[in-house]
Amino acid sequence: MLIVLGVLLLVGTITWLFMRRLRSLEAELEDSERRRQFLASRLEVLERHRATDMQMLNGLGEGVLAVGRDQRIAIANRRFAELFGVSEAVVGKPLSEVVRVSQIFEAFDGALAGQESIERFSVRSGVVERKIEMRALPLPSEEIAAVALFIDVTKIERLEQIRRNFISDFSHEVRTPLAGIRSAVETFESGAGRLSADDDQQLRRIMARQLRRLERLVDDLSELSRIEAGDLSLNLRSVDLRRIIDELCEDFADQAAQHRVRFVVRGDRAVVRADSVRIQQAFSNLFDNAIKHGGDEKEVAVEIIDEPDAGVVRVTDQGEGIARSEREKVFRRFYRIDKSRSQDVPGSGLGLAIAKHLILQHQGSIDVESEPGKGATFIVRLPKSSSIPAGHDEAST
Amino acid sequence: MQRHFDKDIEELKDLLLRMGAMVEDSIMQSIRSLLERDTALAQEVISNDDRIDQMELEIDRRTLELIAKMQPTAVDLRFVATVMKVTPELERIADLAQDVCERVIELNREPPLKAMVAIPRLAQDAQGMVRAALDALVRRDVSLARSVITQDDSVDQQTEQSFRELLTYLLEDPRNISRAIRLTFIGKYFERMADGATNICEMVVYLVEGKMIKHAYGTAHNR
Repeated sequence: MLIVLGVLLLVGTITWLFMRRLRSLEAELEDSERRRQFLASRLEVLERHRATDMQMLNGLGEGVLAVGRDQRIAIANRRFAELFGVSEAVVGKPLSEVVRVSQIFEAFDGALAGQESIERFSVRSGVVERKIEMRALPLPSEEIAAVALFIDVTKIERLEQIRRNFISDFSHEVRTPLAGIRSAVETFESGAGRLSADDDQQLRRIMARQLRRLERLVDDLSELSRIEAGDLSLNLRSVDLRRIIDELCEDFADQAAQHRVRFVVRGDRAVVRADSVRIQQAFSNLFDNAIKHGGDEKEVAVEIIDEPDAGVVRVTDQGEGIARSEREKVFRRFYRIDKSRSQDVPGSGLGLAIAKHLILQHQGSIDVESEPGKGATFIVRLPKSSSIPAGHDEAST
Repeated sequence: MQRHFDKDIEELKDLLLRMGAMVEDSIMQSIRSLLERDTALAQEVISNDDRIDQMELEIDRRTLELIAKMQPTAVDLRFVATVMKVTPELERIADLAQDVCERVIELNREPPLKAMVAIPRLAQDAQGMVRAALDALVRRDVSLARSVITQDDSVDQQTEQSFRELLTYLLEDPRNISRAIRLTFIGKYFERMADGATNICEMVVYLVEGKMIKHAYGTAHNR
């Protein structure tokens, strides 16, 4: 009996102990489950942050590349992949397997040693060569020990070049008339009272001519910048190109006679939507160009073609023509095919640039065809109906 | 032990690719100095060659050390062998770029010869082949390597063509002689850079497939 009681007590004690342990285990399990859930949610938040961070990085216009202390890629955004023509899945790879540009290696070596740097270099991916500015800086972490920004400065460098060219072209164009005026003035000063009437007259003529040249240069330039800025309202009407050309031929009669140049006009009516004053200005620049470069005692042929959706005018001279490599460039500001001739042929060097922009404003096109030695043909195409905003259309037919 | 070994292999690869980047810079700058008649840039390339030579020595030292310490086998051995073959090839290409620059400096002392005929194109093709060869090495890309090898023929043909064209300049006017000869040299240098790229590509095929295609690949594709 006592033995049975003793056994029962023992079993009871064991059961009680066991239950207690079970309960504490359960509590522990619950606790760790809670902790797991907490961590999972934290992780999710972090993941989400990371994803937003990455989205933000991918939205940037600059390339971003970060490496760990071991020079393996930690972060690479989309723009970086584009700039260097690599796939976006480069995270974890050694830097030298992803890009092979000495300046990048040196900049990251420097950044890992605690130095910031800015460098410019060119990289080629496929056929495109890009100028890249790289800014590298160190970060206080093992995983992301250095980061660099890559900025595409190709366009900026090209604009800087254009600006430099413009300034040097402009000063070149201004210097010539200024030199003429200056020497005339100096002659006046040194010969005050001793100049013959003829000399006096001639010096005045030189000064007046050079001043006109300067004036025209400034006028053309401000005109061009106005057109380029789109700061020009077009008074669109139905315009007959044949009539415009005929009128222009009359206007140019004197100048043509001076050079003994003959205008030959072919073609019928071709009615387009255009601003007659502006279109006249554009063709007048083309005529001017044809007379100057066509050569004396030659013919300038003007052909008007009435196409279903456009009016086309072809202006052909019999000059020296334009080499293939020059054809795009003739429409640039101050461009002269033969620099050495710039003194013989007067003009601001802006006529064709102005013509081009006026025609582009009409949503038309201008091209040049030429066989060197046999003259050049400028082809202007003006649409019959255009989608130029109605606000510019002030008059009706 | 194994992990340490992997680290050594990786560092070796890193050094080789850095050397590759320097060599590509030299080629690019040599072409630019030629096209833009930039003597200062040509001199820069020449003085930079020391750094490339130093790099070659460093890679040699590390390679030997790795062989002595680790005694690599199989794939690792093939990799080490590739590094030992590719490094001098790169160094030679850099020397050729330096040679181009020396001729450029000489050419710039005279007025430019009217046209450089096929040379700019040849130079760009050779540059592209060296870049593609290094890309093939990084990516262990056998098909890219083989396509570079087949390009070698077209570069050889261009060299021959530019030589013929320069020959007409030579015959036309004795004042052209020194410049035309220098340009012929330059054409030859670029052709040999392309040969170097081809050799690198042959090592890429060896690295990946374990096959030596050097002299068995058919006579048309070898020098």
